[in-house]
Amino acid sequence: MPNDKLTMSGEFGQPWPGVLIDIRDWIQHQAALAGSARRMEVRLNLSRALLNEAKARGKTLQPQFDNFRRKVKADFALDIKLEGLHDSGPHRVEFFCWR
Amino acid sequence: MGIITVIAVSLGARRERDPASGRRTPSAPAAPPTSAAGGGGSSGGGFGHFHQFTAVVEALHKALAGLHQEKIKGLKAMDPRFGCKMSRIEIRPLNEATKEVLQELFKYIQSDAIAGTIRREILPKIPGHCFDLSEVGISPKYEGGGQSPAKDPLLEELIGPAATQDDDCMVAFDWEGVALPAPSGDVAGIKGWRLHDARGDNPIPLKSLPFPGQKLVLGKDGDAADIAVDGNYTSGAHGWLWLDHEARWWYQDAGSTNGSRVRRPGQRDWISPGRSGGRPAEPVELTPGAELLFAAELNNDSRADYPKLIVPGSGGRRGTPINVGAGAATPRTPVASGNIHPTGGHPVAVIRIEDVKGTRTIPVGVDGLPFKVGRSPRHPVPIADEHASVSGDHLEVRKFEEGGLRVRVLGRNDASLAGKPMKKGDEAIWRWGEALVLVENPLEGEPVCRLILQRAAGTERAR
Repeated sequence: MPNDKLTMSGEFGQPWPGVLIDIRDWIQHQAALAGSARRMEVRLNLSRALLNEAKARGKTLQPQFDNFRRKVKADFALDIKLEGLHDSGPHRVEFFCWR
Repeated sequence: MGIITVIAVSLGARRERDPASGRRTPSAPAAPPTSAAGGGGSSGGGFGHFHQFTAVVEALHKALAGLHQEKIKGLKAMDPRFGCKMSRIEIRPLNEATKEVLQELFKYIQSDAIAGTIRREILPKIPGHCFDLSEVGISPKYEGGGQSPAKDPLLEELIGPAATQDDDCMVAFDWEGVALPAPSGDVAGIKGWRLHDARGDNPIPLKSLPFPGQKLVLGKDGDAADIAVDGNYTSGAHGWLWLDHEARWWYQDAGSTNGSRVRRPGQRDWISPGRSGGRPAEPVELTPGAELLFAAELNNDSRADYPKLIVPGSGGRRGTPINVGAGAATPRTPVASGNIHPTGGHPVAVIRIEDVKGTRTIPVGVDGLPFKVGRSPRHPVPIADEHASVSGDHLEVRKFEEGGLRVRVLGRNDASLAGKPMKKGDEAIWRWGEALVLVENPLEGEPVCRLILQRAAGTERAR
């Protein structure tokens, strides 16, 4: 089935920027399961509440996020798309692969 | 992987209604107030008659100046040898009008022409000579068009610098820091060089010294050429000129229709780096006092028919003896070359390239290996820029092995060999007759670039 598309989703509520390490580990696990997928993609929908909480703790967002995206792209050859922000709850991550 | 820096700029694009049809159409981008091309003139645009895209050039100018100010200037202050080698420039529209302007632009103008315009029009205005755009690919990225991140401060903080209300596109630079060679007294640029062509006898119109290895295009095409040569029989991109790390200048005929000739001081005869049947010729060193003629024949002194580039003589260096008759001496390690000419030696194999430009072939001899295939203009047969997912160096053809050629994938967007995916860094034997597709998952609408390995004529095995 050349267009077989698989989707996995995860939710992450850990503090920023450590949550990025957890997300990266999760992506690594999914990428390993995906095996010889033709294409992989990760879509993020980040929590505005958690980001604001991180900012209140004096954390910056951009450098860590930029590094995270760059490293995931380099390590797993997949694109990270920031789909948008939602108001509350954990960060949502979706992993897509096309076999 | 390079560093990605994103700069928000304004293209000034807006939508207007067509009075005739009533349809909404993208207007020409408004010239920014500081534009030298105010009123739609082409003096600052550099796209010839596509002067309506002047604002794109101005936007790229602002973005490059911003990158210089934010990142490069400080690094260069710490190390004067610091340079910024750019591999990709992506222009991301933030609204529909800008998206339409970019779609129009990229319909008519190729990445190479835009890069040439940046080198000619923009880089001389940025102090410090620190950008190497010799292998850059320029493309639009339409994802997310129409959704300005400026409206959400958190989103804005996550994905890049603040876009103001006036900003309507983001320019993303993918670059890495490189060391420039130590300044050398021998490198006098091309000061004193003269060009005799249909426009008269003029100095070379180059405002800054290129990076070592950066190929300058000489040719008639005002958009693609770094040095415009106005001659009746000059090709659009007639040849390439570059400086190596040892401060020597090299010329290579790009496979022009009418070829090129070089005369060196103290030599009676000319050597001819072309006509080469549409393939790039062997590089030839331009020693002080050399003359380069943009034609393979010597018929008359007409500047329009036989334009000529004259390198000033030097008391310190004399022309190097060359083997006239046996062809040009193989230059010693011209830097511009991951530039190993793949036709070196007797051809054993032929790689047939099927891309948007049609079908072309690279003869492969044992002496010419290894070499690379990709979009970089350094390559003898560069892949067309329409194949946006193909990297500058996408594939390395390493050596002959039993059954075919050993190849390694260098490009980020992978490849597939005989239908099997190959990731970046993967190696495999490319067997005779197999098709190798340079990108595993091309972008939507991107044409397929396929390479097929064949035995050269006369080398087929007897059955």
